[in-house]
Amino acid sequence: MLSNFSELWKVSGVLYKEIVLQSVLSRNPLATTNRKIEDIVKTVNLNMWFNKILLCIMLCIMAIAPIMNRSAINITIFLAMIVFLFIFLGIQTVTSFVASNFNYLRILPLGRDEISLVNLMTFFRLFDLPLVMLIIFFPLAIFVTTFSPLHAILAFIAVVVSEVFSLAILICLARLFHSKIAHSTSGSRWRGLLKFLYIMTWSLPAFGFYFIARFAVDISEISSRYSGVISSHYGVLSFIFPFCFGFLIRGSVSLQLLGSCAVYILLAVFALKWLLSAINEISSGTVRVARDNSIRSQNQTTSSSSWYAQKRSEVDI
Amino acid sequence: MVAVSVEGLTVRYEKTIAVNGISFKVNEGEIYGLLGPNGAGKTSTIKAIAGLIPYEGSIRIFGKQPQEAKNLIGYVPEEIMLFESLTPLEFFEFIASIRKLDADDVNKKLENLVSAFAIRDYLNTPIAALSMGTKKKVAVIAALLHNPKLLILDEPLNGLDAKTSRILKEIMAIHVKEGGAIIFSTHIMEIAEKLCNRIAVINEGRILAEGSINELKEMVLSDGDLEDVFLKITGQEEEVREILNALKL
Repeated sequence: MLSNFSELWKVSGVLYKEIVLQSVLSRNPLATTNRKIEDIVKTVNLNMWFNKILLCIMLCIMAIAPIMNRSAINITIFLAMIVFLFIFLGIQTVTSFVASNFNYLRILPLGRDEISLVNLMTFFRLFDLPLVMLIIFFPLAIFVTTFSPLHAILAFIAVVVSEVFSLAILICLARLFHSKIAHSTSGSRWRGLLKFLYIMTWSLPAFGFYFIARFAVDISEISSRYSGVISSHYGVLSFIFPFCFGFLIRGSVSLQLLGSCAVYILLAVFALKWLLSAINEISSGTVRVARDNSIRSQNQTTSSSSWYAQKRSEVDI
Repeated sequence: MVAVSVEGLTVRYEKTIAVNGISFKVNEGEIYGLLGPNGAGKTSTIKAIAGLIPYEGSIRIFGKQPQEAKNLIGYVPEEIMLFESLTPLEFFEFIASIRKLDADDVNKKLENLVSAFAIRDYLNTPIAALSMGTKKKVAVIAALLHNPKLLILDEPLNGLDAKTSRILKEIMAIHVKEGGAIIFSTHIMEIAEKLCNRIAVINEGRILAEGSINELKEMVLSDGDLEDVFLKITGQEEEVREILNALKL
């Protein structure tokens, strides 16, 4: 089984590289005309590691405030940033993952369970370093600063719940973009608006890096300024994720806080189950692509200005 | 001996029925052609036999279900699916490692096929950078690497140059001479006429006629070529005549 596991891990490495390449090519279709595609393929792994390390550094920077000053608002912001960063920095590659064609694996003598496992490993590879780093680093840092195993365990649970939520939202968004928008060819205004939002979401990672780098200090200032406000709304906010975990790690204990944290842990368990089944669906090729009645509209030609036609085709993904 | 047995095969895509209860058998040493217009159900039939899509009915490949017979099948899809981040050499190594093939056997086979399809210069180029024709050659070599008893080829000659087409046809002939079987789909009549021992004419998910070229000609009382026979069987002869008349502006 172990040798089989290591073989499947190697297979997932090939798929991972393929997904990253497809993600790079779909992000910038003109890349192939500007650079030799051989160079893109060679640097694809390096770029992905660079992105992962960058994400880790950003998360570490964001973790400084909650570790040094264990206030509820700092911890809350940190947990929210985990969700935010994973979603916005992962949306491009995860959309490529959802769109990936695993048909070739199904030709090969691999069982369904093996293909599912390969798929899961591939998905894990997309975020391996930041996921593991966060799970180890944050609870350990909390333990070192508080010498409290209980707080470290709570920090561990909070980070795991945040990671599960962010990955589930990521897959959900990627499936939506893939099935309803990216592969749709119909030209309704509503679809056009969705496509525009899709482009905006895809381009957000670039802003995300800028946002974090530029406003990291401001976020910390805002958090200290609003610390009192947060405490005064404890009753309401203790029901809301990630505030509830912020209060809990801070050291507040109440029945409603414990209850709401338990509910979010339960939700995370359901989200994890859904995530695994969604990944399994992708590996079995049952993810639905857009179904629309676009064939008729494709065959209709309308005269419009060349400028308008060009802009429409640019917006069309 | 029967290589492939298909009984009551139905393939559905949500509400659309792509293949509607078809049955046929392919014997060892036989090239069996699936002939039909675009959207007739050829690719769905082939994908079901290759174990790629869910189906209703029964498929047996040398007595086994498609999922259990993957080592017996070499499949070349119409839409080439390869790992574009790999070079052809890395891709062949990847396939060989998953199929657990003997390295010496693979190297010998690869040496012959690489020479035959003239892709030596591209062995270390990422597949993403190759032309469609070269990608197809890589897909064909990958399908032949494990000496499969059944070759499933979906429009295999599309995108290949004349020399490579000829080589592939020869490989197909050798394969059946050695006792293998081939299921082969095409919409080009001349290719089907030259290559296939038996042909199934498919349209709208059903087999309209099946047999050797001569049997099909007898069936529709035609002494023309396969194109005439096909148009008669599918009832498109009159339609074609009307279109041609309309085009005479």
